[in-house]
Formats: sequence, C-alpha cells, structure tokens
Amino acid sequence: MGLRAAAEPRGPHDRADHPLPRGGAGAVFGSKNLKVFGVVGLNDVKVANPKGFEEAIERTYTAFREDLSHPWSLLGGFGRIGTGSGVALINDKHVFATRYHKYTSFQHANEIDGEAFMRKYETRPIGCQSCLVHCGMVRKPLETKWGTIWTRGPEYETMYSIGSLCFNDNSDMLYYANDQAEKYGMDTLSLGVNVAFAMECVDRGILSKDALGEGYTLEFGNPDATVRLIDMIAAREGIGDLLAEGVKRASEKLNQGSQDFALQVKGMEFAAWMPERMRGVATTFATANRGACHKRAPIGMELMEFVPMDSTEGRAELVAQIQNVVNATFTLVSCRFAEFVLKPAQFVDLLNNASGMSFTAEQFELMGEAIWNMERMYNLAAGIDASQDSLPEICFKVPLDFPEGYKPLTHSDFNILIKDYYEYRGWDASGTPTPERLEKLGLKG
Amino acid sequence: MKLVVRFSGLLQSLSGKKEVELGLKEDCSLRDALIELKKNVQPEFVSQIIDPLLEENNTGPLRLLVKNHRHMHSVAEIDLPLKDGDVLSFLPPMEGG
Repeated sequence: MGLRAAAEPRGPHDRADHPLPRGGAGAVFGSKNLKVFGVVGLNDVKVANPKGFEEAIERTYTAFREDLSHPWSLLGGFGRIGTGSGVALINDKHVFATRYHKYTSFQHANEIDGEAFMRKYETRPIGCQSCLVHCGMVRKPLETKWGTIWTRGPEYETMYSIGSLCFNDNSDMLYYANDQAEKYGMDTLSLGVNVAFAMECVDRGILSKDALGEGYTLEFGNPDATVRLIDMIAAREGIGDLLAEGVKRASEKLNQGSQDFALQVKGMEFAAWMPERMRGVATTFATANRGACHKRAPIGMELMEFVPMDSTEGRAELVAQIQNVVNATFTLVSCRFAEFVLKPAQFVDLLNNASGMSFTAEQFELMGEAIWNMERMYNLAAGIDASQDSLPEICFKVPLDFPEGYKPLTHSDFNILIKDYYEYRGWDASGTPTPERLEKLGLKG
Repeated sequence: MKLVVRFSGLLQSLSGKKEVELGLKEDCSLRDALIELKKNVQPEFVSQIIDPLLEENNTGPLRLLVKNHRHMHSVAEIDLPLKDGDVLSFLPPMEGG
C-alpha cells in the first residue's frame, strides 16, 4: 500500500486531515509519515477442507454463471459497460442527484453514463483475479484539452459526484477528473461533493465566482473550473485549502447557513443516492458508523420497488439486516458485488470449508451485528453520538422535478425511521446499545 | 393512442433500438403493446425478453420493465389497459446497495 500526493504531510499543522480520503486510511498514513508498506507471504496458504473448498468454489462459480447468463443480469451489464450501466435506470427513476440535489434527474445523463463512455472511448473490461464479472473499464489513452490520460473508470459514483451533482455533462472532463483523483489519491465521491459544495456556495452568495483566480468562473457545469478546483484542493491552494478539509469542516468555517446544505453525515460526504426519495437510504446515511456511505443500504430493494421507496414501514429492520450481513461478508474481504449473486449461506459455505470453522448463516449474521455494535460503541466513546444520526436540512427540501405520486422525506418520517431503527437494534432512546443486547452479542465485559 | 418505448444499456443492443413509438388502439393493454413491439425489435429481444414476459408466471424479465418511472411486480399488470402518453422503458436492473 502506498500514499498518494493528496495525503502527504505538508507541515507542522498537518495531522490526520489531509485532502478528501473516503474512509481515512490514507490520512492516517500521512499523519504518521508512513509512505508505503508491503506485505509478503512466505508460506503456503492451507485450506482446512481442500475438497470441500473446491466444491464450494464450483458452487460459487455456478451461481455467477447462472446470473451472468440472463440478459437482465446487473453484473452482466457491469462486465460489458461498467458500473455506469446503472445510470439510465437511476436517472429514469428520479434518484440521480443533480445540480446539488436541486433535481432528481439529469437531462444530459446520457452524455456521461456507462454507455456514453463505451460509445466515445475505446475500452477493454478488466477483472480482479478469478472474477467472472470484469467490471473495471480501461480506456485507450486520450488527448483532452487538459492533458493526456490513460486510466480506468470512471465508476458510477463518479458520474454522480463530479458529473450530475456538479451539473457537468462533459465526459472528457469527467474522465480527466477521475484521473486527477486517481493520481492525487483522493476519493472521487468526497471530492465531487466538495467541488459541488463550492459551486452551491457561489449560487448562494457565500463564495465568490472568482475564487479560482483569473480566467476561471466557479459555477455549476463549468468543466475548466472543476479541473482547476481539483488541482487547488490537492495542493491546498487558495480556496482549495478550505475544501480539502471536507464539507463538514468547510461549512463550519464558512457558516452563513452552509451547514444546512453540507452533504455529509459524521464528516463523510454523500454517496450517489437521494434520502429525499428513498427512506432506506435516509436511514442508512444517518446511521452508518462511518457516515453517509452507500455500502450497506437497501438500494436495490427500493430502486426496483420491491418495497415502496417512500414508506417508513419495516425500513429500520431492512436497513439493520443489510448492515449486519454486509458487515459479516466484508470480514471475508469480499467484493460487494458478490452479494448480488450469493446468499449469506454461500459465503458461510466458503468460510467453513476454508477455515474449518462451523458458522451457521445465523451466527455469521450475528457476527456482523456484533461488529456493527462495536463500531457504534467506539463512535460513542469518541463523542460521535445520536445527535450525529442526522441528515442536513437540504434533504427535507423538495427537488424541483420531484416525481408525482411519491412522498418527499419529512422530519416526521425521519424521526420515525431513527426511533424504529434504535428499537430494532436493541438500543436505548439515546442510541446506546443496551447491556442486554451487548450480552446477546457476546460483547459484555 | 401512442406509446413511447425506450431501451437502455444491454437491452438497447439486444433490441437494436433506442426508442420506438407505437401507434395502438384505444384501451389496449400492455400485453397488446408488447405483441406489437415484436415487429419493431430484433429477434433476440423477442425470444429473450418479450416472449418470456408474455408467459404466465414468468417474473424474471418483469424487473426490466418500467412504466412511467415505476417498476411492475405482478404479471397481472401486463393485462391492464395503457393510457395515451404512457412511457415504457426497458432498463437494466439494480441489486444490492
């Protein structure tokens, strides 16, 4: 693992606050002056039950082959177009946050989605070792007005953060900005939200449109301004120094009501989904231990309307269960996409045969719940309490193109979601795990 | 009445169309529209998507069908009448979170 430019220590005042990591590991590296480390295994990896493990792997591959054989396979789309294959659906369903949540769909989405990138740039899909999906999209080197680029991506979330959220429909710029983030070691989600936040601040008269210097206008939909601001954030230059802190700290410093529209929870910037539209996303963003992260949300269930996306009923239970299961599968260093195909019992099948342990699916999920509660206890000890299980006020405003027949998020609904969530989790009204629940999870003492 | 049918992603490649506008009789059902649609798309789309949709109890490809920005989850909805100006989209699905 290595440290990229954006997390390099820059002086005596730098601590764990380097520009825009997503989870913070790079920032911790930087704060410790740790540049790089490597891990090398010297012994063979022993499997407890080799024959059983081989059979479990074959069952896994069979499940993937079966899924990929359908024309309606999501992962099949990922393998041909990349994660950006989902933009068309998300835009059609009015959950594609656009121009800083002013709109729920982007009229130029088809200029920056996965299909657009396949249409405009020569592409080769690549996959991780042994994976059948091949969702990574490597493009042929491209000369843009900002420089030559040769990289993979962008992923779906970047099409939102630096694309629709910033009202950018320039795919060359999106490709170049993705490469900037890659080179600087900045997360494109948090980066794009920060760029969009600056643009929103200009719209609201809090920042000047001339903040980027001569020749640039800081405004929505301006590709040159986007590229320029990304460089300034990485270099902590001018206004970039403020935005490198993330929207939470930037809004606290700017004040003037900007905290009400800072798209963050617990210091982590929003992923590409709209709490205004989806109650499960609202619950997940507010309660996730690391902030407004999409990794443990019932997105598919709500987007495909297997449950009504604007109903509070049963939503806390659904979110908590997904958080538990995903937490458990992440202990296996499993790709999130594997869970689209495999049931928890299939992960347990692999785990037990590889390790010789004897988890049941229920015990596996309970382990995920225990981890969730340990993270919660850590947060509480660090002063991150129930007051931060919240959403910024902008999530309770109704976007201009909010679709008919759906209910926007209200404070009343949100209070129900959080109350239900605490109850389902076995937490008290202040969001603290009860001794009884901790004991059930084997965490007491 | 007119019905606009849109295709996206792999389904665009499979159908060979980005958008089709169908002229239909008043009060026709989605089933009638899908039968009419067969004449306007590639045979692969007919065999892999439309024909399975018209089968009883085949909910697989139903997840690809979005009418006026809403998914359908019951095969019975295929026999409900359409309205003039309805928009039908064939979109790739989303799973997980």
